[in-house]
Amino acid sequence: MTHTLTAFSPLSYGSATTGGSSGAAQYIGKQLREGWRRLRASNSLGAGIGAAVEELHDVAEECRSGNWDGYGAAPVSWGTLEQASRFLDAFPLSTPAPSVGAEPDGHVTLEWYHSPRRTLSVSVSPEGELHYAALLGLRKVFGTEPFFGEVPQPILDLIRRVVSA
Amino acid sequence: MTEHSEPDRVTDDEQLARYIVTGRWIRSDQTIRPDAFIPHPYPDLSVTRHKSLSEQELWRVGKGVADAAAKALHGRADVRASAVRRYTLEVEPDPVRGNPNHASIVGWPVEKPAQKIIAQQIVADCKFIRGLVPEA
Repeated sequence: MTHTLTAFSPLSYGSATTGGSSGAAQYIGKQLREGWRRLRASNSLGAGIGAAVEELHDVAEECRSGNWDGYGAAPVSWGTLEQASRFLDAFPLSTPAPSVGAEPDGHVTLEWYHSPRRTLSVSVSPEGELHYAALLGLRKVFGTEPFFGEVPQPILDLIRRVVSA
Repeated sequence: MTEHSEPDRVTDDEQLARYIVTGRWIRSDQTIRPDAFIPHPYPDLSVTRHKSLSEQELWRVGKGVADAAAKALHGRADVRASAVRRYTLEVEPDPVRGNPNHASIVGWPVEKPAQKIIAQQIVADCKFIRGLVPEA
């Protein structure tokens, strides 16, 4: 990761992988990732993104079937959950924890919230698109960024602006 | 109004209810996440007009929404029609069986980010009313 934010520690990590493509290598990679998740969820690292990973698991359980909202919502697919998990993995460790939710179209949402008019919501689509919208007082910012393994800088900047208010 | 009568226009001062059956849409400060106001199946968003309904009748409609999803009813997000129309949306009467006060918020932009920014502004004007959680 190359981006830095003054409000966050530059310490970050990407997906834990191994150089090989064999089943054993994949297994080791998976174990490393699980280890990182457990570490992040521990108190030693604070709430941080680890708490959001736990919430994502809850969303997966609650929204796995259609009509989970009573209005005909689409289920949250495994593909969307995988993209959301990768997205969370890409954040710097000291990023403030978002709350995790889902939208009726089956997208996973991450919200950084200060007040009803100072908030950022990022939707993760199954295709790996990041649709975001932020209210910063009277100012509105919204758009779409692709996710290629790193958190797009505009989203990091918006998080900083929301949480530092 | 009956299900077979001509639906009347939704006036600006009417209150609209969006029922909430997932706790994930309720923030810790008892405000609502914009997730609750993303139209799906696109392009409409279902709401219920308060109109002449009593509180008890309003909750009965909400329980029907929750029952359809086999979930508990957490509450409802109330918003004025004028607050919705501020964002170039329209509220159209759309009576359905069992809910003659059903209405649809229409005119949503196609693009997801544009939907999200509108939803964020609408929920900023919403009032969350916690409902009685029906017995299982």
